[in-house]
Amino acid sequence: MSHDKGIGYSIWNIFVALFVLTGVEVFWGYAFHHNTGFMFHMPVVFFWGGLLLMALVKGLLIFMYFMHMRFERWIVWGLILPTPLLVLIVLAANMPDTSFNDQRDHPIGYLIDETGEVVNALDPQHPAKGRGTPHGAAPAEGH
Amino acid sequence: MSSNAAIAPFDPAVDAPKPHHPVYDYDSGPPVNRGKFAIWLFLATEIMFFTGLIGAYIVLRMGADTWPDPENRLAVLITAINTFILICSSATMVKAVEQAMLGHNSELVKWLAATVVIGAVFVGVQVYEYAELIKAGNLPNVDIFWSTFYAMTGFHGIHVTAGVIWNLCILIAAMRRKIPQEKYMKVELAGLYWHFVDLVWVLLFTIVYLM
Repeated sequence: MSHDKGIGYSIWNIFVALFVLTGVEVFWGYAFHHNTGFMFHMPVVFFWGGLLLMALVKGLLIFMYFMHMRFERWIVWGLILPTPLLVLIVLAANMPDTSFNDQRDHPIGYLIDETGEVVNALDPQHPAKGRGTPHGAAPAEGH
Repeated sequence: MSSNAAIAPFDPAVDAPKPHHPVYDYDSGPPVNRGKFAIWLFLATEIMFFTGLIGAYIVLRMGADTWPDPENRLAVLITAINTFILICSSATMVKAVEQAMLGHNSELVKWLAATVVIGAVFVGVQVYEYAELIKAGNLPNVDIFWSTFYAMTGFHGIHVTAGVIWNLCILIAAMRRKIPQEKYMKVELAGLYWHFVDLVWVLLFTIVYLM
């Protein structure tokens, strides 16, 4: 990058873009959770995709401009480029745990309580769905 | 035994140590500033660190039967404002780096001070949020939502705190006029770390608070 001419771009354009995207993200989340207007019947994949897309655009703006990557030489790109690949590998390596969780004896996200029962880690007092009843309680009606 | 007279006097032509490292007439290092090379390697490891946390969160969340709506448990609006605060601190950091490059020390001090103060405000709001959550009994051991929440935001908060301390050290050096124009890289390296924690927060805010 050009060291004697400052940072080489208008920081305030990037700043405004980040500000606006953050506002849209919060509105997007609010509108979905409160079933507002056009998002009333929006599929959750569309909702999550929109949020992730906006987050990625914000991240890219910070990465390319605030962190100067747009102006860096090949050596710095060479240092950082393997990392996204490794990130994808780590996330892909987690996929079996996620996809086949309901087929595991001890699913991720569940706890084994002191009586040996599998309970929902989000609500240990209630049974894990489809996994019997903790504490020897009778199954709830319609469960 | 031989006497001292038997020991030959030091002769540089014979006894001087041989140079172990050849001296080249060119720079054999990477074609980039060493500090920048090191900080990007460090940031690559940091990316993998947060990838581990986020990956575990994805597995736990997708594996759960249900997941609570974050809006019912967390102060989304306050954190959105806090996100904006952190973005502001990134902007002031860019201005600080710019002024360091131009050799304007007084402007550098001004923008760095703004970055430190705004960064400290972000940490303060997060501490306030934690205090309120803990007061309400929402400890990390309550359920898996709180475990993942505290793990991700807590480690990020530690990184922000470290960034504030780093920026504060640079600010003190600038106030003592120890960062002339040719040493602007000291500010740029701190800036790269600071923007990185901003970038991570942008992703964490979306994943933890909005999704």
